[in-house]
Amino acid sequence: MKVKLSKMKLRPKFMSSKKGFIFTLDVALGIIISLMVIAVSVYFMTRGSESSLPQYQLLTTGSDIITVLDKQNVFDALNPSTIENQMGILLPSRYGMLIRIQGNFSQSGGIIEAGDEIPLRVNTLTGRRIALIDPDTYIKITYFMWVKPQ
Amino acid sequence: MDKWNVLKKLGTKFKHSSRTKQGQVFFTDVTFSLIVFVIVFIFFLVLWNMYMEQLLDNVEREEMELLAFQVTDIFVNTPGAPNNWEEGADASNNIMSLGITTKDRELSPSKVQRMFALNYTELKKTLNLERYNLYLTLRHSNRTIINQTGFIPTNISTQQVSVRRLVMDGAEPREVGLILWK
Repeated sequence: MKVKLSKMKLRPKFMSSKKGFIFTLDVALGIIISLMVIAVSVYFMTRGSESSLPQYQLLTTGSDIITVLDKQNVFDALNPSTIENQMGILLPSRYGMLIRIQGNFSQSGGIIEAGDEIPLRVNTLTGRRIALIDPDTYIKITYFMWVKPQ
Repeated sequence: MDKWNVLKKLGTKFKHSSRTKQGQVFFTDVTFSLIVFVIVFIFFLVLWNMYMEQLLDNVEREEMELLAFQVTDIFVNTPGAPNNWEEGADASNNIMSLGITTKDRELSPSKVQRMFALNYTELKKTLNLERYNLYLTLRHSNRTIINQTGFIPTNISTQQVSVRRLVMDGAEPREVGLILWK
């Protein structure tokens, strides 16, 4: 009889604390979900608002440089140092550029490279142009552009 | 007073005090919840306001970027429309698009001369950039200015976008620069 009474006294107390625990868990879960939703929204809003101008500017700069060099017939001699010098005149100082020329020519096994070395862990944009260096020879020019780390 | 009466009085007192305490607890609970709610609500309002402002700024900036790129692309890649827009005394009335090259990235000196001769309002109207201010330059490859028109951005300008394109002027490389600002 004594044991039964003590059990009856204990039960409501135990029940109420369990309810409190469930309620706290519910609130915590709700807060976590809300915070996750807010964090994801903020992340996508920030990503969506990133400007594409620097990338487009970088790519058009590369395209312009290759076009100008082609019009100046700089690629005709297939001389890496001449290409690098002319490229250096046109390239803004904050940008890095590597030009790779591939074609059916004997020099350097048909591949010439001029410009900087592509740094590690830097986003690089690439473009391509086909040019004629004489009536029978065409070359494939691939250019790599990046923003120099500060 | 006998024992029974004392106990009765104490019981009544206890009943009254426990009721009042319950009311106090409820009131504190509501006040606390309200304070928390108001703080959270204000936080969200400030956050929302901040992001809306940023979003609107970004939308405007992107529009300016797009316009600047379109205008400079037309400058350096097309002869404009009509093809001979630079001819005639009142050229600005007939211009449909303003291009300054004879072919891809090869400047036409007469078109360049005519474009820099247009007055600021005419130029903005022709380029469909009446909402913004602009500063247009033609430079040597060493960045010295050959020709310029428009206004340099002031310290109070809120938004500005700058685009530079390379072109050939005969055998020499040149740089066409456009700064769009407001």
